[in-house]
Amino acid sequence: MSVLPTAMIGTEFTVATHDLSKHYKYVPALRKVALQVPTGAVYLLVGPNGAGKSTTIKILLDLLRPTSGSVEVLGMDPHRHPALVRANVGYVPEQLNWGYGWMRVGRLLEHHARYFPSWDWEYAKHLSRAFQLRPDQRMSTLSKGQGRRVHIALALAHRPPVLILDEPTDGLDPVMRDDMLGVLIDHLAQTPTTVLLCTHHVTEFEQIADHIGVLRNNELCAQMPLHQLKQGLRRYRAEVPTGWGGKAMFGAAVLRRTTAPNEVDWTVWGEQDDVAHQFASSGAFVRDSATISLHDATLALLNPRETVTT
Amino acid sequence: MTAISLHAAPSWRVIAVEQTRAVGLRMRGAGVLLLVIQVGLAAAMLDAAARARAIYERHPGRGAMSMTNITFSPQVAVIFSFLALLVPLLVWEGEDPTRRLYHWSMPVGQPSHAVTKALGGWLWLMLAVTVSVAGMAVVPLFVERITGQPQTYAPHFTWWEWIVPFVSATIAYVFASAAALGTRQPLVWIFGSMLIYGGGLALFGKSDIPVLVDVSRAMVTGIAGTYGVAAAVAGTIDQVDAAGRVAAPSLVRWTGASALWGAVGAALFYLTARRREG
Amino acid sequence: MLISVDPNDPRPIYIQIMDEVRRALVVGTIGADAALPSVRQLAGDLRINPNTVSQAYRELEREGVVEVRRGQGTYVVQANVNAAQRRALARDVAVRALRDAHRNGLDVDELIQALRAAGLQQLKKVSRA
Repeated sequence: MSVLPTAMIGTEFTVATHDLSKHYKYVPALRKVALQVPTGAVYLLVGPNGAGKSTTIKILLDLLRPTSGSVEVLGMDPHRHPALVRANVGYVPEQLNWGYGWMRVGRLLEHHARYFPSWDWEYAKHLSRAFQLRPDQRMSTLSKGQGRRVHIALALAHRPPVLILDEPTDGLDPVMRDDMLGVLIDHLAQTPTTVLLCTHHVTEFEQIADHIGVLRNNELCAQMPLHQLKQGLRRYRAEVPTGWGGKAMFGAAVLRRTTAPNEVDWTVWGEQDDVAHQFASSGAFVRDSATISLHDATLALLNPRETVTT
Repeated sequence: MTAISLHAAPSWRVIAVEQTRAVGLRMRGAGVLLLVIQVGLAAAMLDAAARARAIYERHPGRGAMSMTNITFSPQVAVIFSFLALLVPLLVWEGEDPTRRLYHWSMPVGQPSHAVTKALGGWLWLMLAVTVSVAGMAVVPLFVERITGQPQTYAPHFTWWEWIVPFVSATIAYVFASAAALGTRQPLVWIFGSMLIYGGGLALFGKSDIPVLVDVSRAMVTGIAGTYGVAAAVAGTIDQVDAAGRVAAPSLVRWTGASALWGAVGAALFYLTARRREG
Repeated sequence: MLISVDPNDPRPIYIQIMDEVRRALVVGTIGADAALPSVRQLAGDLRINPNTVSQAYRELEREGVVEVRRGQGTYVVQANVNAAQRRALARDVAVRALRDAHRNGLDVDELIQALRAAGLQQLKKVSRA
């Protein structure tokens, strides 16, 4: 269905799924998803609510069983090695109402430290300072943002080879978000990590991410290095003759189109020169072909739209 | 490929110790409260013994001393099993099946993790029962000292009745743990099922329909029958024979009832502690 | 030396960093043996992926502009900017301006004329001040 690439070749994948499907009763949550997160990548998984992001993550951690297909994390099947996989993953869940509200922050860090033999106390203390965590506070009294930061500290402090972050900036104010990005970048600079990041706020991670996967209607409709998306998905503004028939020519490669009688503003996937050539050969005159922001690109992928103005 | 050195999963022993410590921390408040109540009760008993002695000394021969006879009876185990019903609520507080994601995402297999945590709570429960039972054993000795009157036990009291409170609390704990693991409202399930059972018993017993009367009889057997809940929870005292004498408690009956209800509880626990879809 | 990047710029971030280093060389804010900020430092400051900074530094090393000294950092090797590099920089600026002109329906001659006129005006302003 998709004209965009959904598979990557020639790379090692730290996290991969093969034909992964999941049905809740009879409602599909995932359909034949082949996620490929290259080793060392910061992979952005985007999609609307209910597209299957959290389901994918839970399957990767063996919190859910797939209906069909298989999963690989660090070369292991999470269902066969659940403890080992989870020992090597730093996980920040989207929902934070997981109990342990009676525990104080400091005690929770201790608790976590015992579960993760690779825990780095020196680093945990550094993170606590960076996130201004107060060890004597009870978890249940924390705001959403504070709880999120505790969780991020918990996930980073054992320096796992894989980080799985589900909406890590949810509930954080702009300053906290910026701090969190700084901490994450510093972490990546010191510790070789593969990151799978689910978020609605793509703009925040645009400069950190290097790969992107787009889930739409429970299917992976695009997956590629970010620079490939930035290069391939462009916005073309062209002057066109009256009654121009470009629509048929481009087909599904046009993701968004705004059309006026003698002018079009289209978001088209393809090699820039090829697309320009196609426009020219159909009698259109391309004024401008510009890269678009990641925000606009994901919108175009998730919600193709046609607008006609007169 | 750049070889990634994998982090190890934690050892079982470390987790068991940590869970026991964490659960202990959670139950500390309740434990302190229980201890205060126990000390208060013991103090009240000793005080009563001292008063009785004072009265006796002022009015010798008035028989006030017999009032101070404190007997240990395995029936007190009923209290422990009620307390034990509440312990899993503390152990799993805030972690009903829809909110156990954190627990599940830890680097431990799900079922063994549930068992580890439940074991942690059980150890503390056993400590509490030990302290209470020890109190019950020791306080009469002091009363004896004060009053100079020997303290007697229930008729036919045998050594294994000291174990009844431990087993009884364990069975209740296993049942309540299953409720806490498997349902979102364990308190409602535990006491709701008790109420429904009791209500059904009362209602069917008064009924004129033969089938319902049979059902109510079966329900009575479930509680007071040879291998009923009562035998498991409170030992098997107070069996009165045809001549109206109190019969000796039966070890066979008690172990049988305990094994039966322990097995039912364990089965429920197994079903609820199994792997779940998060 | 200050390096800044713009997420809305069509150039990839690593190219922007390379251009910024070259710009600093042309302007003269860095010279030979000057140390570039560490990958960790620059990535943190710009809030970008450390790999992107590494990539920019690697490319600059390949071009012979900088060298990575093991365990010490990245240093500028070639301080004096030659004419070819200035021309390359000018060409980049021109291409960007031309693209903008095209979008606005202007041709090369119109752009050059406008550039000259604007340049003259700028000169007058500076001399007046």
